[in-house]
Order: sequence, then C-alpha cells, then structure tokens
Amino acid sequence: MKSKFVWLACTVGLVLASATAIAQQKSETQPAAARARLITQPQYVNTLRAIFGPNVKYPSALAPMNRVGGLVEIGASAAVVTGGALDRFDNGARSIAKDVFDPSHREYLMPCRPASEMKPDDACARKFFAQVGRLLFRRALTEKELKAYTDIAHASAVSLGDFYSGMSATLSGMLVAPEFIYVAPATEVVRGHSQLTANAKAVRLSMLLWNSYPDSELLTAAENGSLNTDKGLVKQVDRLLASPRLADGVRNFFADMLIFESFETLAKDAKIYPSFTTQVTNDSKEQTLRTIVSHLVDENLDYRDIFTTRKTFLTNDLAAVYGVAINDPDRWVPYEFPANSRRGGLLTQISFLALYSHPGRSSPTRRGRAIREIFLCQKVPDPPPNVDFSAIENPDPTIKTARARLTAHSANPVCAGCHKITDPIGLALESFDGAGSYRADENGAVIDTSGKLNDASFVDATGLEKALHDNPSTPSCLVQRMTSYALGRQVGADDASLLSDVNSKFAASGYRVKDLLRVIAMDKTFYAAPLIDNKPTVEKADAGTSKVGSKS
Amino acid sequence: MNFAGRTILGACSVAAIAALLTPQLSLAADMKLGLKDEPRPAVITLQETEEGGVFADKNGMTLYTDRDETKPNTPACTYDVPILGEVAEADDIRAFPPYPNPTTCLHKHKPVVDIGDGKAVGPWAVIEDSYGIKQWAYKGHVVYTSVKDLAVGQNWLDIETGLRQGRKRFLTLFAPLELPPDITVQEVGVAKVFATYSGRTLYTLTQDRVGKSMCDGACLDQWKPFLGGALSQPRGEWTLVTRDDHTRQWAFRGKPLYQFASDKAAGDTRGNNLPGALVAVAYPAAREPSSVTIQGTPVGDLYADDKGMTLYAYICPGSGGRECDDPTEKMNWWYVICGNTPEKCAKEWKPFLASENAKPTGGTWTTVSMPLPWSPVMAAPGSKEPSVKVWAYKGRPLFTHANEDRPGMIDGMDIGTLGGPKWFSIRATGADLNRKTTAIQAAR
Amino acid sequence: MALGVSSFFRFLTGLQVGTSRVALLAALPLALVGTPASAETIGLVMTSFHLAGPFTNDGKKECPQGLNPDNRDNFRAQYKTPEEQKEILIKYGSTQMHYRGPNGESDTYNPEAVKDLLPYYDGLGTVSVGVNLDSTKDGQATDKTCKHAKFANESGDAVDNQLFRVFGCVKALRPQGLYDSFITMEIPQLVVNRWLVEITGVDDRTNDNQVDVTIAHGLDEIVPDGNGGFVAGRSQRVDEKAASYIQHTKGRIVNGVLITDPMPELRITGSGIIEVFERRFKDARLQLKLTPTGATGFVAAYHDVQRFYRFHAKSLGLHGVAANVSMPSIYASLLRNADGDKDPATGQCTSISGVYTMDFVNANIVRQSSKKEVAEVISKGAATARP
Repeated sequence: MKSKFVWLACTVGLVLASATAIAQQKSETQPAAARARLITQPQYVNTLRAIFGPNVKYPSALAPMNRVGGLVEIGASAAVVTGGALDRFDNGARSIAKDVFDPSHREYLMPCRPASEMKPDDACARKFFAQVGRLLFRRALTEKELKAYTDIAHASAVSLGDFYSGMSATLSGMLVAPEFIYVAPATEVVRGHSQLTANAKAVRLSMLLWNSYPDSELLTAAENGSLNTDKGLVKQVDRLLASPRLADGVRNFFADMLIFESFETLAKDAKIYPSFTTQVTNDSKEQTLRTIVSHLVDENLDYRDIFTTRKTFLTNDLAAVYGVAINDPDRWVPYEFPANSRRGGLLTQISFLALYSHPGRSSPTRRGRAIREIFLCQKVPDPPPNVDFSAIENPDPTIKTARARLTAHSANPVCAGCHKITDPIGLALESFDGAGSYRADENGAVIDTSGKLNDASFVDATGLEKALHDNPSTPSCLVQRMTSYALGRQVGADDASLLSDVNSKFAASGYRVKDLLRVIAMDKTFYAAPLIDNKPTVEKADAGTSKVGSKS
Repeated sequence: MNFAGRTILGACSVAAIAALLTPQLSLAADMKLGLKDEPRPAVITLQETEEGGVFADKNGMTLYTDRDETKPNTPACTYDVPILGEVAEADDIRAFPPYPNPTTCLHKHKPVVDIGDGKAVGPWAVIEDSYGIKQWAYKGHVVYTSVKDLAVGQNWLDIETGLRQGRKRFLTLFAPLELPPDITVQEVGVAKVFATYSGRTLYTLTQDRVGKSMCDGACLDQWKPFLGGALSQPRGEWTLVTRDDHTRQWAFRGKPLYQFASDKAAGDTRGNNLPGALVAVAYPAAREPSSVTIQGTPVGDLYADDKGMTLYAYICPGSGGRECDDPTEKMNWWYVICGNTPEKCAKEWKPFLASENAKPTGGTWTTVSMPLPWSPVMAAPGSKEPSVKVWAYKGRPLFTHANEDRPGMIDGMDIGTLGGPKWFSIRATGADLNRKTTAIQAAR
Repeated sequence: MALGVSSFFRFLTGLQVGTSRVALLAALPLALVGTPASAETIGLVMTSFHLAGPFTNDGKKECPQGLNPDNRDNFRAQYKTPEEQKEILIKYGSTQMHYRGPNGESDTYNPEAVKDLLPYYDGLGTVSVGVNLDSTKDGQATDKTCKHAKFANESGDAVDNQLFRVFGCVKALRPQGLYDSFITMEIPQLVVNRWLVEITGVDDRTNDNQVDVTIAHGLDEIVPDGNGGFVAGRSQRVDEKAASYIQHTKGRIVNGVLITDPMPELRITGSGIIEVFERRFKDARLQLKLTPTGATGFVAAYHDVQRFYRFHAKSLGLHGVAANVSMPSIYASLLRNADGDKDPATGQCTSISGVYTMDFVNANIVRQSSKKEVAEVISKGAATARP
C-alpha cells in the first residue's frame, strides 16, 4: 500500500516536471543545452547527510558510472537511469524515508507535530515538504508541487491510518524524483550574456567545492539575488572554501582524477605480498587522499610539491608495507619520511605503486603510462590486440630484472613506440615492488632506476618526482582536469582562452589549489551557458531582480 | 536582509542566548540529565543511581531485564530447577540436579505484579507468565527487582567484571535519556559517555563558549565538529550551534561537541585529559574510596588496593538452582573450591579490610560486615554474629589473592567453577575519565 | 652495547619523524656513545606458544599405553555404580564430576584431597629442543635437583623438559588438543597474549657477543597475512601501564640465534580457554633463531609446581570433562616429575623444567607517543580562535 503512494509521488514529480517544462517553453526561460547530470553516490550521501544528519541508513552503492574524458564526473553527464539503477535509488529512498520518520528521528527532524499521529495534517506536512523540498530540489517548490506532495501525504495517511507513514511514502517518492537525482541546469540571459540561473550557479558551485547540493545559506544567496552580484558570489565562494566541507570536494576530485575506483578490483598475490591485506588496500587510498587534503587544503601548499613532499599519514598496516615504525599504531598518524629516504610524493605511495602493478610483480609500463595520462594529460595508445608478451613472461632465470625484460620486449618495433614513452619513466620506480615495498635488488640483480621524462634525466624515483614537479604540463594538466570536472564536460580547443587565463592565474598563485578553485568559481565561464539558436531566453535589465528559472 | 528581518533575527538571537545561559530544566525534573518523556504506569517510578536514571518499582527499587529471554513477553526466569540428565550422558553443564531448598531464579528476582487495571501504558504492557501471574513488561521484556539490592538507588545485580563482559544475565533497566538520533550513550567500562550513534566518544573543548565554537584552523585537525543536518531540531538540552560555514554542530547544554581525530573505535577515549578537552561524560564512574587505586594490568585497568594488588569479588552467575552468594545461603560452592576449611580458604584470599571510620563514597562502594570465620559473602543484614568490616563493590566484599606478589597481576581472575561462582576482578576502565591523570598516563 | 644507545634510541622512536634502524644511529659520533654506528634494534612480537617435546601424530611412540584418562574416567573408577555416581553428583551438584574429595572438595582446586585410581602415563621419548638447565649429563640428583630422565636436542646436547613427561600423553595439551588449540587461537585474539621481545645493540645479526634484551607486554593487534602467518613489520606499543612486566636481560647472538643469559624470573601473561593467568619462568633462557621476517625458538625454564598447577587448574581443569583431563593425576605427575628447587627438608623438588616453543614476527616496538604533539596542536588551535 505504501509503495503505491511512493510511485504516486514519483509520478507526480515527473508530471509536474514535464508540465513545468512545457509551460516554460511556452512563456519563460528556455532551458539551455547545458548538460543534465545524474547525482553520484558520494554527492547523494553528502547531500542527504547534510540535510538529515549522519544517523540515517544511506545506501553504500548506487549505479556505477562510466568514466568519460578521464573523469567520472563527466560520465555523470552521460549517465542514464536504467531499471536496475532506479531500483537502487528506490531502495535507498525507502530506507532513508523510513529512518527519517521513525520515532527516534522524527522528533528531531520535523519542524512541527501533527495534531494527531493517526490522521493527516496538511499544515504540518506542507511545512516539512517546503523545507526539505527546497534542499532536495535546490529551489523552492512551486505551489503546485507543494500541494501535490501534501495531497499525496494526506491520502496515504488516510489510507495507512498514520500521519508519519504517509510522510515517509511521500518523501521516498521525492528521493527518486528526477528533480532530485538529476541536475538539469537552467539558464537565463543577463545583459546579453547567457548564463546559469542563480540557483543553477549555486548548484554548480556547491558541487565543485563541497561535492554536494547547496546548503540553505547558498540557496538563500541565490534566491535573494546576491549570488548574482560579485560581492555576493565572493562571499559564498570564500565561505565554501573556508569550510571543512571543502575536503569533501577536493577528495572527490582527486579520487576521480586518480581513478581510485580501481581499488575495488585491486588484488595482490598473497604468497608474494603477504602483508598486502585488504586493510592495506583501503588504507592506501585513504593515505593519498589525506596527504592531498592536508597539503593542498589545510596547509595550502604548492600543488607540484605533492610529488616531492615527504609528509604523509600512515596506519600500522601501511607502515608494515613501507617498512617504517609509527608511534601510535592504532590510528592514523602524521608521518614524515626522513630526508635521505627514497620516498616522497604521490608516486612512491602504495596507492600509486600497487595500483599500477600486476598482482605478483611491478610494472614499469603501467606506472609510466599512468604518470603520462593522469598527471601530464598525455594519451598513451592501448597495446594492439595481438601483442607478443613472450619476452615479458620469459621464465629464463638469467633475465632478472623488469628492465631487461622490457628491453627485450621493446626490441619489437611494433611495441617500441609506446614503451618509449612509458618505460623510461616507470623504470625509475623499480626500487619498489608490486606492493609498493622497497627492494634493494631484483632477483639478486642491481636495479637500474635511471630514466628520462622528456628532456629531464634522473637516476631514481626522487629524480623522477622532481622532473614531474618541474614539468610545465603537470600544473596545466591539473587545470585541464579540474576545469573539465567543474564544467562537467571535456574542455577542448574552444576553451583555449579560458585555460590560458586559468593557468596563468594558477601559476601566479604559486600553484595553490584553493586559489585555482577560487579562480574557476569566480570565472564567468564557469556559469556560462550557450544561447539556444542564438536567441536570448529572457531579457534582464538587472540581474539582481531577475526571476529565477523554475527548474535548476 | 532588511531592517525588520535583522531586528527579528537580533531578538531571536538574544532570546536564544538567554535560553542557553539559563539552567536547562530536565524533562524529568528530578533527574540530572533529561530523560525521555515516555508514559509509564503509576507503579513504575524513576530513580537515580550512580550509573544513571533507572526505572524502579513503587518502592524505588531498581528494575532489571533478563537477557535469557528468547521471545518477547515470555519470561525466562522461573521456579524451575534444571534436572539431572542420565549420569552416563551427563554432558550438559547447565543441567543442575534437584537440590534441597533450591533458590531458583524467581526466588531472587521478583516481577512487578501490581498491575493496576492491567492496561498498557506506552511501552509498558502487562503479560502473564506460565504460572498465571500477571506482571509488567517494558518493550516486551519482563522487569524484575533483585534481592541483591538492599536500598533505593542501588543496582547491585548489574556488575562490570573482569575480562569478558558478555556474562551478565540481568541488565539494569536504565530510563532512556532524551537523545537526538545522531547521539547515543556509550559505555566505557564503568562510565558512560555521550557518543556518536556509532559509539565514537564525544568531547567538549574548554575554549568554547556556550553556544559558540572557538575551534578553528589547526584546532580542526584534531577536533572534528559533530554535525547535525539542516533539518535537525534542537530539543531539551540538545541544541545546534551554527558555525562560520553555516554547518550546524550538535551541542549539549550549549557546549559544542566534537570527535577526536585519534579515536578509532567505539569506546576510544584517547582525548581524555588532553589540555583543553573533556570527554562528554554522561555518568562518570562512581568515585572509589581513597584506599582503592586504578591499576594497569595486561587485561586493562582494574581496581586495586592501595598497593596496586588487584581486588576480587566472589560472584555467582545469574542462573538459579543453587545457594551461592547471598547472605544466609550455604557456602557449599565456596568450600568445594577453597578446600573445605576456613584456614585453607583464608590462606588464599585476603579480605580488603576497611578501617573503623571508613565511610561509603556512595551507593557503589560501601563497607559491609563479613561473618567470621569469613566466607566471601556479606553477613545477613542485622546479624549480630562476629564479623569483620570490609570494603565492598556493589555489595560484594572485596579480596586480594594471596598468591599475587606484584601489583597488576591477574592470577585470581576467574578462579571458580563452570556454572557456579567465580572470583572476578572489577574493571576500572573509564574510571579515570576527566580526572587528573596518573604519572604514567601523563607520559603517554 | 652501552645502554645509553638503546635508551637514546628509545627516546628517538618517540619522535614523529620516521626512523630507519640503521640510518638513524649512523650520525652519532663514536666518542659520544662509544659504540659502532651501525647498531640495530630487532623487534619481535609473539605469534605462537606450544609445549615442546617428541610428539608424534598418533602418539603411539611417546604414549604406547595410550593417552591418559580424564576426570570422567576417574570419577567412574572412584564411584563404581550409577547409583553411587548419581548420589555424589546430586550431593555436590555438578555433572562436571569434579567434587570427588572426601568432603566434596573440587578435584581441580584441591588435588591433594583426591587420589585418582586409574593409572597415569608419563610421556616417553628422548628428543626435545631445550637447554640443560641442571647442567648434569644424565639427570642424576644433585643437592638442588631431583633425578630424572634427560632429553637431547638434535645436536645431542642434554635437555631438561620434565613438563613433557607430565603432559605428553594428555590429549588437551598435545598439538591441536583442546588447550593447545585455544591458546593458538587466543594469541591473536586477546591482547593479554601480546608479548614483545626487543633486542637492542645488535652489531651483527649473525654473531654478536653482547646484546640487550627487553621483554614487555604489548598493546596492539597482530594481523593474519595472506599466507597463514602474521604480517611482519607492524608497530607494537609497549604497555607501560603494566610496568612490572617490562623486564630486561642480556644475551648474545651465535650463528644467528639469540641466546639470553639466564633470567632469575621471567613473567608473561597468557590465556587458555579464555582464562587469563601469568606464566612465571624461573632461571629462564630464551633461544630464538632470527629469520628475515621474525624468529623461531623456545623458552626453557623451571616452573614453580604450585603456581604452575594453579593457573592450569582454573583454565584447563575447569573444563575437565571437555578437556579430557583429570587434575589430581596431573598434580601428582607434576610432583613426581619435578626436578628443580629441591626442598632440603623433604627432598621434594618444588619446580619442574619445561620447554615451550615460540614463534615471532618482526615488529617495530614503540613507546607510547608523547601527547605533546596533540597538545601543541590544540594550543595552536586555541591561539587561532577568535576572541
């Protein structure tokens, strides 16, 4: 019975959305060709946790998304909700709604009490839906929507004989409504420029910096027009950048850029790497993200130094793989590798070394390719389907090192082209085995870790990391990635001017990521949207008094 | 915001601050902490103990529930005495034989049978047991008083012992506190602390003001504000403090709450006694007498005498059928362990004597009389027989074990029988929360 | 190796900056500490603990007459008819069949009160790891020791291990027996079993004529690896609150084997069937072969019979029926096989030799971190707070 009302709520949502869209086409702002995107699982949890608090059963997995243009965030713009995906959203919605209205939660989440718990109470229901709807849909609900949801809650309360059951059914419908799970940016024209509406700006800003839908304060700034002013925008950007919630946004970006979903399928041969347990897998990802947040957010240091810094965070399980001692074995501890350590920077962290290796051995090629593609934004072609791996897999015990095997393999001219651009980099990391532990030799042979990155030669991993630090493509690749991430699309030739501007400002800031985020968030291009058929949608004399589009 | 709005906001802020600064009335006015406002029958009262507010009978005697129940509203405490199985197949360690004058579960634990009109009240309902006796149950659990409690404000049946905590059969029926869903009360040994819903200890910082967090910048590296949601509502002593980034932080009596970054698991209190930090203790451990110390041992902190020698109590399990550890009962179990002569027993166990002018520190640490020649159970109240005064923990006389010759040993722990009594050490984990640290702790 | 170095190293491990074993001390001027700059610390955490002796899989060689009867068997021998048995069980109330003393005393806690009627078989055999504790070649009585049959190790050196005589044919204490299995399972589960050995001042892992050894209780978990063992190289905190369990001795390394000097007393806690106790080794010697990931070896020592019996009583004896043991027989066997600390008045030896094998994995042993770092952060945080 309750399901019936859930579906009714969803249908109402869809119908209302369509009706509004049609109404818009007839009379108001035309939605622009800006992409609609599906909410990701971290955004879903971050958003709902910020609304309902931490003690609600949030789903741990929604529909997986494809990586497009190197980022899942872009893939979100191409995601479709299949039946299976909707199932997960629906299950999550019901579970959340059930928690929200259980006796222990509702006392602390409802702004009012019904006159009777056995009967509908439209005034109280309406009050709740107005509050929660604004946060879920990132705009005030229209009168039509409010009435529709209140009516559903009323009918279901009558049918179920319980006010809160009716509320739960209605809320679970809202949590699968397209207005919630999809972000479809609305646009308007102000002084001849097509841009996102203030609410759409709020969404884009919040997704970039907090990886979450906007909070009430940001929505208020959108609703009262201050977000459309320079001063108002600065205030909100600074507020979001100063908040501890910035860490959510930064973590999500780097987890995306570093392809951390690969950890889900990472497996190591237990006989060869017995200390590489599941805990190490989980901790290594967290180590890198903590290092990044500490370095780039808390300490606000030079991005390039992330490849050379000896400071990081360790757990006892990680320390065992790194071969170091930590003083507080039962927690995360800040740790600095000694000055003469071979380690420093992301490339010598387990998350990189182990992820780009084989289950039972290291892989200079994988590591080299990952460096090119992830940190330098340089595409390396896939190997041809008929590649001959016999040189690599040669069991001859006299061939002791990976370098020797790769040299033999690369003698094949078909293979040489790609290996030339990956191996000279990856071989610098051969002092670290497939788990990321240091090794003094390989099968008893001395390991030659010399190599070259473009024109920069080096003798070991430290040299490689310095070369990466100094390479101009390193910061420009970050700019490219972050701009794509922010815009939800791949940047290309048309964005040359924007990228050039952002790059120079990033450099001028000393390569501070918080400043980079600020530059992007303050740039008009971040909020730009193309005109439709070159026609303005709504003429606005004063952006401060513009009518906000009804969909965002 | 326009002038009117600012005026209203200002007025509200003043009112809010005034509310925070005025003493918070608990929802149950006679409690230190606000209890959940729940209906209850007239015969069920609320009573304060050193471990928290409890439900009690009309005489104020603490109520307990029975973990041995397997189905709701179905008592597991009966007059049954388990019977002996076939001798040849006698493997069931719980199969106690019939014994003259057995003291069964229901001899020691009394249900509340004053049912009034028998109508359910909130979470309280009347059920009928297999003997046809109607009695009260709370959320499906039958409630009992215990012969162990001699006075109001005691919960002596419920004792935190030694190594394993899963042994207790009867649990004190604590009255639920008024708590937001994001917050729970977590037992940390003998103390109770406010914690996140997943048991992670919460703290306050002395630098904070009522209604205002001063933790910023580097402070946030170690102290994580415990945030509520945008819809979270204040209630009673629980409010939300708006931070500079407009996130909302839970506060208790106006003091913002934090998690400590170095705490890893539920019950961790590694931020305890750090400068500027206090564990948000809901109920501290009962203060021990000055002659009792907290001693580090390889199984954790235990209560010890003033020389650090571990203290032990003789305790019977909750299952019935055998006279065991109540005054006036035969000490058969005791003698089969310690060798049947008082002299032999006295060689192994030394009573923790209390001086003549020793005074109880509360309802948990008291002095009791022990009969001479002693057996490890207090003398019957009112007994005029020769006795010796000893310190007791929840009514159990305390002893040291003569074969322990160093502080921090645990040789006396768990000496006893399967299904019968055992000697238990008394856990002191949590006793030091928010107290001055010992030299060892300060060095950590 | 000067204690100053090891103390200094201990101080340095309290720092947040990472240390490597060799590199750290490389910078020390020799004049300051008078030691070679390459001194190393080896940290170990115990992962297994078993009674040593010539156990075979089927037990036939060491127990040709079969394994020993338990207290149920002895109970039925003592009370021969079902009626008698039932009467006694009812009278003293337990199907555990423990209350066999003349006044119903527990056979576990009052073993002298009960005389088992069934024969008890000592473990036979002559091969064992261990040490010649009494320094005799043939186990002849001396003024301090009692006559007993010796064992020999693989090199033919004499060994004392009378505990094997007592327990060799007791099912529960044989490999994978109930008690042995619980001990094995509980070592990673219960921190009471966390025992650390720290060897400092190591100049040469193969041969070093003087090293310092510290034994202490640890606080941290040991984690199974993917290979059926335990992960090596994790950090282990010393339990400084259990201060009396921090113990020191000296030793040497010979052909890669650590050999400690005799310790008058070595105390470690343990558990058996989840009951906790202290093991107290007298005249204890550790011999541990150092391996790339840890160590393997044994501790050989005397055990005071009364103390040794008592903790077995509350852990092993408590479970008499399930554990297939009869404690009075074990007590009698302990006294009969006791070979050390002869009471001059009675001639009864009051301690018994025993060898336990132990395995370790490498651990980084650390002292508790200073709270200074956190306090500084909090103070710094307070300083950044707005007025």
